[in-house]
Amino acid sequence: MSSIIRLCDLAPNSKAVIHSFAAENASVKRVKDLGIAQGEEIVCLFRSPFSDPTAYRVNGVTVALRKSDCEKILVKAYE
Amino acid sequence: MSRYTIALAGNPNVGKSTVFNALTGLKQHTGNWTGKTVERCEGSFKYMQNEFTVTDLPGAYSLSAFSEEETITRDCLLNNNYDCVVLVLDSGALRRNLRFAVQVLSMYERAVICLNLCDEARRSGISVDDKLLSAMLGAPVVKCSAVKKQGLRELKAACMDVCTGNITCQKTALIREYDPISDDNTVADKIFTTCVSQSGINKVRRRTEKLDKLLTSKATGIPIMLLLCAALFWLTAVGANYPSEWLSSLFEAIKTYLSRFCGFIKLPHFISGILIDGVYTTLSWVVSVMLPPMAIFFPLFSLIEDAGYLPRIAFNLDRFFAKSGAHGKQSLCMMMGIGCNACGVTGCRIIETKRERLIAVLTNNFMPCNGRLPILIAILMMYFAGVSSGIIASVKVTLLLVFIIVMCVLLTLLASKLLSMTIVKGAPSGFVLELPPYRKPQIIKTVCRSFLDRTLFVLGRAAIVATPAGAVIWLCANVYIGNTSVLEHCTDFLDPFGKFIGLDGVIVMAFILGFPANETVIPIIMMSYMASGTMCDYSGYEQLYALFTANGWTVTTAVCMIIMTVLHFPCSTTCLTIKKETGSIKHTVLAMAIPTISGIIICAVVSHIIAVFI
Ligand SMILES: Nc1nc2c(ncn2[C@@H]2O[C@H](COP(=O)(O)OP(=O)(O)OP(=O)(O)O)[C@@H](O)[C@H]2O)c(=O)[nH]1
Ligand SMILES: [Mg+2]
Repeated sequence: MSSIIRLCDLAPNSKAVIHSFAAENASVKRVKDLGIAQGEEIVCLFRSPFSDPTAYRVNGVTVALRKSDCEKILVKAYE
Repeated sequence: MSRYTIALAGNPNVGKSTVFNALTGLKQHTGNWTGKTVERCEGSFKYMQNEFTVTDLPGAYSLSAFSEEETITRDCLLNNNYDCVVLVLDSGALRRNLRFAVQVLSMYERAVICLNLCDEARRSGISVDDKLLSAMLGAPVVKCSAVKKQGLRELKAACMDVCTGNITCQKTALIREYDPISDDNTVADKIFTTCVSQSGINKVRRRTEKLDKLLTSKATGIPIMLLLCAALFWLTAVGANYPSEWLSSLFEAIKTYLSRFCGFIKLPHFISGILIDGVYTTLSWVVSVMLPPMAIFFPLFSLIEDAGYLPRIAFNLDRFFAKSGAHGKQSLCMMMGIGCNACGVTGCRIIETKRERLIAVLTNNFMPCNGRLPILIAILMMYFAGVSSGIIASVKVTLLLVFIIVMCVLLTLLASKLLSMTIVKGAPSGFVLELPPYRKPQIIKTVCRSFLDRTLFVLGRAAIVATPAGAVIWLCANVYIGNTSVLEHCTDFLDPFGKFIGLDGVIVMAFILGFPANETVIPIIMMSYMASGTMCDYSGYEQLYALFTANGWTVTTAVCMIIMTVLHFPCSTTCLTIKKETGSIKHTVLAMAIPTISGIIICAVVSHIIAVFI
């Protein structure tokens, strides 16, 4: 069983698959351009010293995303 | 002989500028972070009797452009009919890079694929089947490593083949399958899974992860950042001392000979005054005191940049920028601003949204640039470190500098917050920051290049700006209206205002006259003091300290001088850049007014508070 959660709720060192986007706006478009698209595997790596933003590995590259943007990305977490 | 045009395109930070430099022998700046190049740049090379003009484009993630420098790239590709587009791809991150490649290939047939960063991919255990890739993309594929100068000849050969039509590129069936409207990644992903394989442990990633644990963690991230900042300033302050002293005694010696020579050929006092006391003194001051710190700071900073640390700083500090309604990449522009505010302002193009870019442009001047850093170092040395140049003094100066920088950052955040609440209202928008793998900097190349760049830049500016400034000041000091010189008329006029903010008329005037280049501020102050009686030959901080103190400087003056150095209108070059970037006179004026007004207020408050306690 796997559940659908928001990307911001994914804990460091855990993996998930991108399920869908909860909004369609300019910032989501930006996120998609960087290769964060539906069906992509995403790993939560570490959080910044002040706990936001968070670094993720997706597509073989490391990108940092703010919590406010991650709230709009829904992922299916691996058990 | 024929001429051909080539463009270099690709995702950010894949080494386009490095390839460009390797091809053309030019010296475009490179750096290990996305968004180093924000403006296109041209160069050329010859190969087999053909001349190729190469355009280095800013990196783009996709052609459906989002940020300004991506728009430049897209428009360039659409509007210019290049004979060949070199798609520079990062061999270690092909999954994403191929998507861009497919996008470009679907509209541009004549292309060469340059698989750059091959050395890094090899260490990551990634292998690419270039023959298969070439067949699937319908364009020649060349493996290369621009830093190690590998595969460049093959790249040139492939470009020529495509340009001359030796190889005819054709859209493959696969590329034709790609639909730009829906813009889905199936085609690129299919190519990726067929051509690329990964085996063994990824050493590059492991090293990066280890370093990131250290450099971005809760416990060590911020302390290391401050330590690094301190180390940078310490090396600058200490290292600059020796060449500074050496240069100023050299200039002093030359000056003696020059004066003797002028006496010998019986040059009128007026002319020798302008040339030696005016122009020569200013020039030698700019070179001996301003140049060494810059020539040390810049190369060191470039090394940090090349290693890939800057995006980590942005990562560590983003929280505060988010709270201020600003963009996390603003800290990257600020770091560029420490080098030169004009570069910092241009660098703001990496910020995708208009609102946040404007905030970054308007507040960039809060970071003291390299033209102002030596002023700070000089004042700190004289008034807060007890002139002596021992270790303790340099540590004191370093700590104070770090303190000043931290204050500058806080001021920037405060100003950004205020701006985002008033003039440029709105909610912060999406933020994506790439954290590239750490790379071993090309030490010798980076150090030499930025050292030379800096030296030439400062010398050039000294010649262009300091020379007339020196002449004008000398004239003002020596042309009399009634019993007082023009200079004194001016400084007397400004004196009440200067005194009110803890400075004096001379300093205020120096800042105004230093508008073309902040490097000239201290020489102007010096000359004005010297002209008004206290003749004194400069050969070190001791004399300067004596001169300033004789003219009424106290610790309060020094504190206010530091504040004013950080907080006044940007230099003319920066103002022009702001005008160019924002396209608005209103915003340029605002960018001048914000720091100046806050500087005046803070100086007035601070000097009056200190006066109460003393
Ligand atoms: N190891 C290795 N490093 C490379 C190679 N090519 C480039 N680099 C490094 O990669 C970093 C990025 O290079 P740039 O040339 O600035 O990249 P760019 O594509 O112009 O980047 P933007 O201007 O931001 O789009 C620099 O730190 C280079 O030293 C290579 O072949 N091997
Ligand atoms: Mg570049």
